[in-house]
Amino acid sequence: MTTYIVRRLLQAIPLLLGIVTLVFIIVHAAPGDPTAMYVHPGVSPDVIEQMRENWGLDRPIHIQYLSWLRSFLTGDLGVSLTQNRPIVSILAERIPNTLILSGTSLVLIFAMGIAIGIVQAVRQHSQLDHALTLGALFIYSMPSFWLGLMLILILAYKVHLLDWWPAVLKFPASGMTSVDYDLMGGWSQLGDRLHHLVLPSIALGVASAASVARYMRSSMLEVIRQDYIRTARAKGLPERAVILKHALKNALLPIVTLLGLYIPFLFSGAVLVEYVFSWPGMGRTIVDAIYQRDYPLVMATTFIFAVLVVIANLIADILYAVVDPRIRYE
Amino acid sequence: MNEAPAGAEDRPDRGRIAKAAALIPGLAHLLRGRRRAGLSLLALALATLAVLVFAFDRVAATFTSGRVDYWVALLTLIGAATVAWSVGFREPLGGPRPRAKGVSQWAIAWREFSRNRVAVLGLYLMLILYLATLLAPYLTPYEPNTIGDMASTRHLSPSLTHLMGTDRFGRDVFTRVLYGARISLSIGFIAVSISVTLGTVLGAVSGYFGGMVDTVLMRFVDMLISFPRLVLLITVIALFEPSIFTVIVVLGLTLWPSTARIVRGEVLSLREREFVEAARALGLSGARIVCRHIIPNVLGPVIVAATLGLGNIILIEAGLSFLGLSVQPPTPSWGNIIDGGREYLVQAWWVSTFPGLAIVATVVAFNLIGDGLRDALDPRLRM
Repeated sequence: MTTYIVRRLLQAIPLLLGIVTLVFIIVHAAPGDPTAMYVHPGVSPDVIEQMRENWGLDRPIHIQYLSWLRSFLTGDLGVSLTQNRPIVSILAERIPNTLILSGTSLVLIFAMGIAIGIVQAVRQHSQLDHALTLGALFIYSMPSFWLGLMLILILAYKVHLLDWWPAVLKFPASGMTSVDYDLMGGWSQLGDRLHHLVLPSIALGVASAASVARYMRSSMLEVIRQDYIRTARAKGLPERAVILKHALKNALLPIVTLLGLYIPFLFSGAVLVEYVFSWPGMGRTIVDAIYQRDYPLVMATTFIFAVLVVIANLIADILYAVVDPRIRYE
Repeated sequence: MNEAPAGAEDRPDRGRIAKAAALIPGLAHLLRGRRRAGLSLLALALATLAVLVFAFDRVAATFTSGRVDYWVALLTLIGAATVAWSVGFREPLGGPRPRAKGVSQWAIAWREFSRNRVAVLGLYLMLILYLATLLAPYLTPYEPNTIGDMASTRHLSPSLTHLMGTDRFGRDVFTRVLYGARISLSIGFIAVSISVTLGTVLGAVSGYFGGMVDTVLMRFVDMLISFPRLVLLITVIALFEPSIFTVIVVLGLTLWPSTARIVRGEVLSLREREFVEAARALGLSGARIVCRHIIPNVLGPVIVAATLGLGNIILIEAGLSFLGLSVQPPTPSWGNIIDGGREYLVQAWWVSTFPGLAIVATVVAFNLIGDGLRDALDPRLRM
């Protein structure tokens, strides 16, 4: 087991090196260089030349590559052009916010997906099964950003016109916390944060939940047909125990592999959802950086996203090896 | 009368019906009990007639407009009419139906597909969308980019004159959604063609030859897959100039890994099969075996992946144009119409809502077709 984990960790190293290289290639394949934004009739070409020299852009490409590699490996991601502070400190503020949002969504995705999948499998070919399949089809065909806007429109704005609508279900339209967050007590602070999490995590997660439900349904159907389930039923166990105790464990195995599959997808969605909900995470950072042409920040955020995906895949693989005793690793 | 079909002798009035049937497409099919084909032909014919009658002045304007999209719309109209009437005319009224010839693999797949009602529904939805897109100039009296009178036509709510209301510049949202479909549907189509071709060739090469080629390609695929798709796309597009061209190229060049993985998996099992061994024993070159013997056998899963990929690419493109990284306004695309309505969500909900519904309808259509194709093309799923 330990050797398996160590081997997976070692395999991740060349992958990360490749990712750094790819980011480097993308930057250098792009037309123009970082000094382009300073080119201006009022700026003398000598100054631009000086800047190129200071940033090392006049050196041969392989030297630039090596120094890029060295700075990334030592955790120096450069300085943001617009915010004039180290990118590491900007990202250190933003990464937790993205992880909170994606984490909440992930829980939502699997909780909802698994529950709906079980219901569908148990009631296969019923009206409910067909209705849920159809609903899932529509939901995973929805763009997350549009769903986010619709949720804001209905659950944050329109419901304010209804007097009888409970205040708890009137959700904030944007941000992570309310304006008066700092004045609140501990518990209401937590409540406020959760309140702000509801809409974005739904917008981000619902589509994947629909697809988890689909996998869960077919995986459950496969397990239910097996002999040991028939045995469990034959010895007179209540249906509930058969499904939730005996069938569920095995049906969940293939679902664990989905975890690694959904992480990149979730981060892609986070970019759009964070933009819609003004959520101060990495997705919002990268979009803002693009609008402000802050390329070092764009590159660093892209890199961190890729690193997070690699780590998540690693965790998913190890988790799968832990839950499935049939997997052999040497 | 002599031209009446063979089976018409027993009933004297069949000749007249035959002539009428030739005029009304689908009638012959309906009389023979082929309801679905009959009704579709009838609907297609009625639709072309309706466009001609209700939009006659715009159809006539084609000749003076000098605009390509008007000519495309005219060709589509003529094409639709030709299809409706020629297919309707070819169906004989009586007599035995033509015997089925040899049944190919594709014919079996089509039969399976057409039995799947939901999938056929998706196919109809897609045909309607493409027809509406091509006929856009005839279907709406407005222009997508003409700014209306700001005082009187800004943010009008949906009504009969403006089916989906107007936006903040007084432009008709229905018109913009129709014209925006062009961007979404064509970008999706071209990008999927590029990525599927690349993915199939690279996957087949990687799977068939193995060794170093395989290792290098698959490590590269691992790397590309580690980037969240949208993050990679927006980074690359932002560094180059955002335009339709950039978006198509970048989408095409970054989305091939998933196809490549599927193809590689299939090829790994195919290359051990007897027919490939026979081809090798005959002394065929590697390239020839891959192109003539391997790739045709992986087309099934590739077509399924492409159809499902189309829905996905439309979602991605919508996301990119929502962020302003695809087609630039004022040219409409579904994503940038939604973005335009975002600031006025409360005052004018219709601006953002309707293009989103258009996206959902399109993606649902492609997903239904993709699921239907998967069931039809995979012999293991056939009962």
